[in-house]
Amino acid sequence: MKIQLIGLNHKTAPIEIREKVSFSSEKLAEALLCLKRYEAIEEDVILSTCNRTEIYAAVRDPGAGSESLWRFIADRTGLSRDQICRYFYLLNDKDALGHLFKVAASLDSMIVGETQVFGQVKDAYFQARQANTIGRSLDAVFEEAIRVGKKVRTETQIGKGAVSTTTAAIELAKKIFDSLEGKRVLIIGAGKIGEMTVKNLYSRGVSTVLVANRTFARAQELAGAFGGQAVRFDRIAECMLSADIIISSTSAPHYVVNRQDVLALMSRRPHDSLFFIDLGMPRNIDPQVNRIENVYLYNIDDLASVRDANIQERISEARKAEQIIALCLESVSSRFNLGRLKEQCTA
Amino acid sequence: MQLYYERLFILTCILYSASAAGYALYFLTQRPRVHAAGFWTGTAGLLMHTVILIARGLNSRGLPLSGLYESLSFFAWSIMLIYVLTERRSRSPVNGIFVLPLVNLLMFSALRMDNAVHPLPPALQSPWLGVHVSLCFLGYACFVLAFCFAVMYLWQESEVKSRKVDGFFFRLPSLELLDNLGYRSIVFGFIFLTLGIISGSFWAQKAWGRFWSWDPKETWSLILWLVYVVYLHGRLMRGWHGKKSAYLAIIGFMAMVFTYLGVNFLLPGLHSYLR
Repeated sequence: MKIQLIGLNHKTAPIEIREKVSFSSEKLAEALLCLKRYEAIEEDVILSTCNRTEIYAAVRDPGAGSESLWRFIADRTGLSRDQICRYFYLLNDKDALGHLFKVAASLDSMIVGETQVFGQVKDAYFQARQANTIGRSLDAVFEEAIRVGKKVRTETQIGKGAVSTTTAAIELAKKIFDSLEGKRVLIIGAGKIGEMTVKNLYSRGVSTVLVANRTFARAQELAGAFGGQAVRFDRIAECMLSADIIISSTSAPHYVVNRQDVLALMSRRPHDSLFFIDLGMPRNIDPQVNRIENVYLYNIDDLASVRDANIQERISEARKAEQIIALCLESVSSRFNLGRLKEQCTA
Repeated sequence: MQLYYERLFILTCILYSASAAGYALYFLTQRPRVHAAGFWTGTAGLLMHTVILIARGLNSRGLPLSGLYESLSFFAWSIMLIYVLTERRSRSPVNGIFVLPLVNLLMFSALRMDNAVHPLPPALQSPWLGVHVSLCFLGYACFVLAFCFAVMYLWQESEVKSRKVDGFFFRLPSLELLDNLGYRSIVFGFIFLTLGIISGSFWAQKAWGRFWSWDPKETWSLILWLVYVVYLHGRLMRGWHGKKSAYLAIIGFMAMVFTYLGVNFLLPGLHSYLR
């Protein structure tokens, strides 16, 4: 029994091609069964996400197997042989295994270390089991891939650190506050990125969200989405008194919050730290504010540099992950040779 | 007998050093297993250290607290004890990289001292000795932890403030947590120190006929106590926290070092037992 993989991903194919080849979850079971009827295909699993479509198959004969895989792709998608050659990769045995391990460990992802793909690999495996297109070989391969994915996640820091601007803001907040639960957030201006940041904070348990916006209706709309409260723009000063995190994303041409405001504010609330996130362009908050004790101010560029630092960290963690994968691959491939011998004996 | 103490003591030092190395490695790699290795070697060191203290105590019929060697060793033991007992609750396992080097410093200084078991001088042969001195040392140990939290706080504060994110930023815990941990350590340290001073004055009343004699050790204990009164007052009444608290915790630590060692070497008085 040979393991073969045919697939494409965000690195090898543009979105126009990827969308033609992707399998929706409703069609997946049917596709799995359909492929199994092709010549030489014994078992198959289809992994289809927005960045990749990969078909794993256990085949009796590699030549006939790859021919069937080509044909299956051509039949399903209407792509010509040339196009398939251009955008798809075909891998055998150890290479296919190594690739699957990398995918499961999120080393092949667009954002290295993202967690989604691990779940998608598991889903693909379970769906193939449900469709009954999986047998002993692929079962063992996928079990192993899931184990490798877990191992990489626990033994490296690959998934740690925020790699988007909004999650970088959360990460910073967590270095100032012990926990975000029960913290109060004030958002000034109802811009898109501000909304995304609040959404993230909200999902992490902040207790009160206050929204101040020039257009009160928009403030009410946004506040409604987070069970928050809309406030009038001229009441910002008193709201700032009770807030722990203040996000500003207005398009005002001048500073909305200046140093004097915050100085006055801090003398009235000496107990707690105050975290400003300035997402405005031009900046909404006087940069001098950062000099005040217990006040921390980050603007878009600062968040971007946090994000970049995290990405660098992930790249160095990815090297560790590759070593783990290489080790697993060695042990698995030797084990698989043994399994194959046994199969031949019983046959 | 002497030889056994020495060997066990060196073994304890090795365990503490290994633990310090474990914590340093944990700081770099952030692997939970490395942390567990550091923690458990430290705990093993603590157990061995406890055995030595009990053996010496039985031998000298009282708490092993005569002489600088025993005093340093007992101090290191108090810090380790408090550290091991509180680490899990603190949710901040990186503290070890600050605490363990200090413990090692004390242990290796003790190693250079005369380690013979001396009978306690008659003035110290009293049940009050154990109560008074161990309360003071437990207080000191809490202040050492508070000092470590203060240093970590200031470090992390400058990381967050400067907006230059590096490895330390990710590894050190949040400002709020460090601030709270420092505060809690000082509350406990303050309670121990207060009880230590009270028990000392009762003992002084029995031994010297006076509750308070303005002996340098007493004066400095009072100064030390007052530094922490300022800390607690500022925190509870004026809402001082963060950097102000951290600086006070560091001043308190320096006052403590002087009360513990400086007084004995620079200001002779009734408490001059450590030589």
